[in-house]
Amino acid sequence: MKKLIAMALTGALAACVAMPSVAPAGQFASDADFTVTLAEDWSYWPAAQNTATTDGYLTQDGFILNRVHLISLKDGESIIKYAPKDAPRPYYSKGASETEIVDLVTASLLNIGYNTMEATDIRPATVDGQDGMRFGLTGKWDNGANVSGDVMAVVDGEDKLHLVMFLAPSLHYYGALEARVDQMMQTVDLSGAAATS
Amino acid sequence: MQISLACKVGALLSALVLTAACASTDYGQRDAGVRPDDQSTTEASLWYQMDEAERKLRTSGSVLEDEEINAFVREAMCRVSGEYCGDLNLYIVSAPTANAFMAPNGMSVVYTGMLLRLEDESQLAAVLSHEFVHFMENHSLEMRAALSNARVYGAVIGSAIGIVGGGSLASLGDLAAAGQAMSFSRDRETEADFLGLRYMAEAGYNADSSVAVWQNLLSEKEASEFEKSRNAGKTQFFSTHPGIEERISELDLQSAAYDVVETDPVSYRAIIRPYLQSWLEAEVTLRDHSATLQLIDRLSALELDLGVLDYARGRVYALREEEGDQDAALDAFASSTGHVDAPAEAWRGLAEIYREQGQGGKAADAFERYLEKKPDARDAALVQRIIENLRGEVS
Repeated sequence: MKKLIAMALTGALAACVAMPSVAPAGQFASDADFTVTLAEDWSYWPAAQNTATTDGYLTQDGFILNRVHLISLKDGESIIKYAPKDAPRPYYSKGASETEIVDLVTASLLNIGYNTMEATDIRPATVDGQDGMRFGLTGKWDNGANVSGDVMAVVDGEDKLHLVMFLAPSLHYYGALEARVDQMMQTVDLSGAAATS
Repeated sequence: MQISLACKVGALLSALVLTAACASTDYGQRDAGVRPDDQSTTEASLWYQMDEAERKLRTSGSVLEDEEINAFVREAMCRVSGEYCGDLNLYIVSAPTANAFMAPNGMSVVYTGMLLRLEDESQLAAVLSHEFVHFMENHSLEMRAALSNARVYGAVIGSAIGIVGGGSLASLGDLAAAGQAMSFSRDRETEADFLGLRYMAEAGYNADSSVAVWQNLLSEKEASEFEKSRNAGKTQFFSTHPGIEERISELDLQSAAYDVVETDPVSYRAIIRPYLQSWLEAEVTLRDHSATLQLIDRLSALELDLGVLDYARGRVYALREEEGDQDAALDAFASSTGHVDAPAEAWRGLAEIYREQGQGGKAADAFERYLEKKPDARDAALVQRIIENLRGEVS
C-alpha cells in the first residue's frame, strides 16, 4: 500500500514539474503568446527549464548546437530571464522603434554569454499579415564559437513584442537549420496562442 | 543564470572580504618576472586557475583587438608598473562596465566602459596604478591566506571561472564575477590608493587625476535611477571599492604632495574617438537614463565630439519617454545634425521622432537624409520600406 502511495505521489509530482518535451509536428503553442507550425518534431524547453531567457525555446540537437527562442514581451519586460529590475538592464518598452528593438536583442544577448553581437541585414517582413522585421546576427558565444542568428520581430496591436530568435554555431549548425527555421517563421500565428493554450 | 551566479559569487566574496579585512597576513611585494615554482602551493593553484580564465578570455570574442588603443593603454600600464610590465597581459574587454582589475597571474582587464569614462591619460594611469598595487603587493594572495578555510576561496574563484552553459570566465557575467574576486579589504584599498598615487606621479602623471576619476564615478553613481546602483554601483569599481567619499578626501590630501602635471584630454579623446559612438550606444541600452545623461554632459564639457554626444543624448531621451523627453530628443538629434561629426544615425533618430509625432513628410525626409549619409546602412532595406509607407500616407 505504501509503495502504491509513493508511486502515486511521485507521479503527481512529475506531472507538476515542467520538463523538456517533444514539440510534435503541427501547430505548436509555446510559452510565448503566438503559435508556430512545425514541419517536424522538435524538443521544447519550456520557460521553467530555460534559465537564460524569457519563455522557452525549441531545439533539434540541444541548446548548444541550435536554439529557436519563442518570446513575447509586454511593456517593461526583458529578454534576459533574471534581469534584476532594480539595476540597469535592457528591456522592451511599448512604442519602441525598430532601432530600439534591434538594440534590445543585441544588448540582451551580451548579458547571457554572447559577445560582440551585431545585427545584420535589417529588413521588413510581414508577420501574420502585420508589418514586422527580420535581421541576422553575428557574434561569438562565450566558449569562443562563432555564432550566427536570425531574428523575426513584430509588435502586435496591444504593443506586445513577439520574437522568434534562432541562434546556432556558424560552422555547420546554422546553415543546417536555416531554411527550416525560416519556414517556421513564416507560420507565426499571433492569434494562435489564445486558441490552443 | 549567469547574473544570478555572479550575484551569489559576489555575495559570498563580500563575506570573505570582511573576513580577510580582519587578517594581518602580509606577503609583501612580489618579485618581477617570477611565477610560483612549487605547483603544489595554493598560490600556484590560483595562478593556474587565472591562466585558464585568461585562455578562455582570449578566445571569447569580447577582447578589443584595436592595435592603437591597446598600445596606448599598454604604454600607460608599463609606465606605472616599470619592471613589472612584462608580467602584465592587457585585455581591453568590450562591455559597458566601469571596471578594471589585475589578476594574480598578470591578466590585466580594462573594460571599455571604464575607458569611456576617463578624460585623459593621467586618469587612465590612476586606474592602472591602483590596480597594479593590488597586483604587486600580492593582495589577492593575502586575502586568500587570511581566510581560515582556503578551500572556500578556491571554490569561489573556481565558481567565477567554471560556469554554466559550456563554462567560460569569458562571458561577461563570469568576468564580472572574477572582477569581484579581485575585491579587497579597506586596508588594501587604502594601500593601493597611497602607493598608486606615488607610482603614477613617479611615472610623470598628474596625481590629482586620481581624485577626478573617483569623483566622476561617484557623481555618476549618485545620478543613477536605480537604488541598487546608487548603493553598490552601476560602475562596478564601486562595488569592489568601499568607503569612496572618505577615500576621495584622503586622495585629495595626499595628491597635494605631488607636482601638478598638465594633462591632455584632447589627445585622450582622439584615442577613444573611433569607439565613442558605439560605447555610448552600449550605455544607452542599459537604460540608466539619468546616469548616462550625467556621463554625456561631463564628456560634452570638452566641447569635442558634440555631434556624437548630442546623438547619444537624443537616444537617451527617446528611450526614457518621460514628459518633455520627446521634444528634448528632437532638440538633441537636431543639434547633433548641426555638427560636422554628426553620425548618420542622428537623422534616423530625428525621423523616428517625427514619425511618432505623425509628421510623415518630415520623417520621410529625415530617413532619406539618413540613407544619403549611410547608403550601406545595415537597416537600409527596412528604412526604404518605411519611407515608401510614409510617402504613401502623405500623398
